[in-house]
Amino acid sequence: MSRHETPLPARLFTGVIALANAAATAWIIFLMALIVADVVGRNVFLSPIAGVPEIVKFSIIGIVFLQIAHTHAAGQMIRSDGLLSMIIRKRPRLGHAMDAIAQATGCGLTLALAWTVWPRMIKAFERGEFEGAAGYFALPVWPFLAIIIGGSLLLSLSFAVEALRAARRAGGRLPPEGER
Amino acid sequence: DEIDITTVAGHPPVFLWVKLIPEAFIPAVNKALEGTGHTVSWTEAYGGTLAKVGGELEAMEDGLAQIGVVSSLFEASLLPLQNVTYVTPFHSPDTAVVFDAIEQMHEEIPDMRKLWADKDLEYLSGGFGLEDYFLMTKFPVASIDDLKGKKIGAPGPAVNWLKETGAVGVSGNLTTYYNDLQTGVIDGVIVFPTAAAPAKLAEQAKYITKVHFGAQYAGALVAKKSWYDDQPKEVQDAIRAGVDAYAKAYRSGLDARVAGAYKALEAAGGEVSEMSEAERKRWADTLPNIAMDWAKAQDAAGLAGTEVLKAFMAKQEAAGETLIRDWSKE
Amino acid sequence: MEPMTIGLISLGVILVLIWGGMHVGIALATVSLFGVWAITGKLKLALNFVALAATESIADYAFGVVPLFVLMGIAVSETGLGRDTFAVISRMLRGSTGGLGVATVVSNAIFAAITGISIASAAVFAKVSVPEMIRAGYDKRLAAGVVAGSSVLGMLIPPSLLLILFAVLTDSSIGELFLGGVGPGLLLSAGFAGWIVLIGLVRPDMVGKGHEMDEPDERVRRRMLLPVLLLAAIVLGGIYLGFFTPTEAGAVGAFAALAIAFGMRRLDAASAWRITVQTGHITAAVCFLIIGAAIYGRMLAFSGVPAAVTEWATQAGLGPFGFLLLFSAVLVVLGTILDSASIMLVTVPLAFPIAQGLGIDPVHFGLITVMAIEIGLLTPPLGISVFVVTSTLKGTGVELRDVFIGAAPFALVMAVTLVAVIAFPTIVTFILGR
Ligand code: NA
Ligand code: NA
Repeated sequence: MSRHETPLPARLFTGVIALANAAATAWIIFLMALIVADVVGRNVFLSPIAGVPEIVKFSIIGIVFLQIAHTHAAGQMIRSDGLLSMIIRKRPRLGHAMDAIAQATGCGLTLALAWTVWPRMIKAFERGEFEGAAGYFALPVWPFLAIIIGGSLLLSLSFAVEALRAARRAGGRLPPEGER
Repeated sequence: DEIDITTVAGHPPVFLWVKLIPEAFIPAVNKALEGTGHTVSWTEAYGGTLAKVGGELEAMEDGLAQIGVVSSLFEASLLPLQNVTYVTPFHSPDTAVVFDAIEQMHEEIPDMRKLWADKDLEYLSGGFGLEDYFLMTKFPVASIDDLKGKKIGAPGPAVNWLKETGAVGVSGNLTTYYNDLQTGVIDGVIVFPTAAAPAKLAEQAKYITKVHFGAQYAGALVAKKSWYDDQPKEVQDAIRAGVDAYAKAYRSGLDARVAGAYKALEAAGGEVSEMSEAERKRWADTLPNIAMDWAKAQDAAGLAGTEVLKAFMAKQEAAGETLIRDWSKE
Repeated sequence: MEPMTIGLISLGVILVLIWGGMHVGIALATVSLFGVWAITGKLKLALNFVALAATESIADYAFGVVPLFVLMGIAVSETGLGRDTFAVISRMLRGSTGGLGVATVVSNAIFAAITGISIASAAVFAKVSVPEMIRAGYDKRLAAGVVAGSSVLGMLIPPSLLLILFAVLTDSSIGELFLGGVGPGLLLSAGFAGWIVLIGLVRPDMVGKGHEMDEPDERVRRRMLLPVLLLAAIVLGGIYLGFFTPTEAGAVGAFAALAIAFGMRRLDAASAWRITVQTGHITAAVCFLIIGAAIYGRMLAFSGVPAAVTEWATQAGLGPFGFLLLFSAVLVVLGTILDSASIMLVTVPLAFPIAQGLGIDPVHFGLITVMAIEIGLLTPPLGISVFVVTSTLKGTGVELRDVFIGAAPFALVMAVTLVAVIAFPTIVTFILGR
């Protein structure tokens, strides 16, 4: 498909997950720099950076959820697809129907996760929850919950796209995989 | 009828505040319910099988558990006033004095209870805490000058106890202290005896200096309020009796454990010494007034920060303790 | 329905879903959701159960440094530093049987002294040594299996996250457990190396005998080892001189690897970015799986199945040897489906008092527990190390099935070593002088 044939929402979605992916990538580099700076600060200047353990602990949530949709779209989310590929080869429609169910389940679960975490984020924001110790270092919790929600929603969209594609293949409206 | 109760704690049952749920709280509740026609079907979830440390409060709010240990030490943002002991170093080393003071403050200062109630938790006076913190180092410490340039591991809130002393406070936790001391990432730790002994820290840092940073309030066994309010009177009374038994057992159990911990530390080569009164005073006076900064920040957030700080200091004096630095009077 | 029944049914459903091709993390989380719903009858509660586990399970300092260890591994591999190193090693070991495989095991044992988690080892060596072994003519299953298998050394040779967890759960000494891990770690390394040599003797074609390396002799110079030796010196030296902790070593190592590669003009900003994106994908895929595994671990604990099985094993009225064998067997079975930390959380508090009652040395018991649990990293359907190796090798033609098959003999070697450690406690305790 050439670029101008791709519908706008699809291009927008691709752009957003690429952006989230880039943010997470930058975050990994920041994390590396932060820990190295803390090590140098502690040993050379006798002044460690406050709150590094807390930042590291929460960063992994940010990195994983910002990057998970892009990972799924790139086909790198972990699944055991040996049996599935075999079925797709031998009985393409059945295989694609199974794939559609798997992808739709992913969509449903991630939507449910986003929906359940939402009120927790509001609560964390309203009562100013933070990680750390008063007067030493405080890291607000709500932005991380917001990333979990946003990342889950993006992932659910990515699941929906794949579910739809698999369903169309199962229904014979798209050629089966490998025959494009 | 039969009531389902799930008890939660993020720490595993080796810690006294968890161990006493099955060993003191539950038997006392069961006993108090005898003959009332009510029975309880208990589900116990400790050590991260339902919630991690710091996640218990959420688990109870969500209705996943009805009774649980909430560590105020790890809920600095949701239970800030309960952490007054961590911003007033060099207060009383006597656990009874500190626990009594905090329990009384829960009765007298409405904000203390309100913080629990706001999270749908019923405070039942089941507070627990940690014994007097001390300093363990790889080098002897007679004066705070010995700390200059040394890296000292401490839990988050205790890093402030090293401000302006010349020591480098490194935020850390018990699971890594042994290794970090061994490799020299840190030269010492601020810790309490019943944690230092099983972690065998004396093998790596044998100089134990009793600086007497003070005994700490760390959390409480609480019930989910909206659930508790719905229970029949007999059940509520039984839970109260259970929490009472828990709090009593904690106090007596802690003293025995602390004595045992000192023995174990000395057996492992630890050399215990007292820091002189003059040096303690010097250390306390070197620190900026972290307590007052904390109290003002609480006031600004609409909580009774200054009142709590004043009450905590006053109650210790009333109990006959001499305060080396009265943080509330500056 | 009884919670226990629901727990048991959930095991079957998980198997069907995973083998049916559902994403593993999604399958685990979905079954947990319906499981808790079925047990409590409350959907809202089940949703909260899943959400709490999902938001707190990877929020941990130890997981936070996973991407940095992965980054170090990919940087070493993508800039050709790993390839150089293995080219030199294979030149030096030319004529020896299975030399590259043994070299991978030995490198893994050394790397185990840096990292506290097996997934870091699996990610690093999947990138660094599997492609080199395949280039040298190794069977791809054997190559991937060597890496998945020897990654378990990460948890056995100190520092080890699982041993720390055991120490916390049982109030025992972290230092003694770390020392106790040295014996079994070395024995296991020897067992792995022995197995590779044996394969090489029986099936020389599987370890590249008769395969022509495409590296002309004159281009392989010993000094090509220098960059990786420098990296190892920085990381190991930094840890043992007390400049940084083993967890911080991930960041320092990644930084040093990138700096060395830049210095050698093997890397520019664009490829550094590409490498980091790849790092993020592997991290996200693996951590999402771990979240699913943690949710399911909690659900199964909630159903009471692991506790019941452990109780059955502990009350079978056996002597120390029989008890340890039975308990290990329970751990291995739980390990097929649960993640390491979850198994430890639900079984150890129940079994430890029994072990004490039987007079079993706590350090001995701890090492047996960790070894038995670690076998689960290699067994289907949920073998985390195998998943990590597969996802790191994505696009190289090595499939999940290949890695599971390749790792199976290494799981067997572990099992044999485990029995040896059970039978001869001194393997663990000699170093403690008791
Ligand atoms: Na290790
Ligand atoms: Na497994």
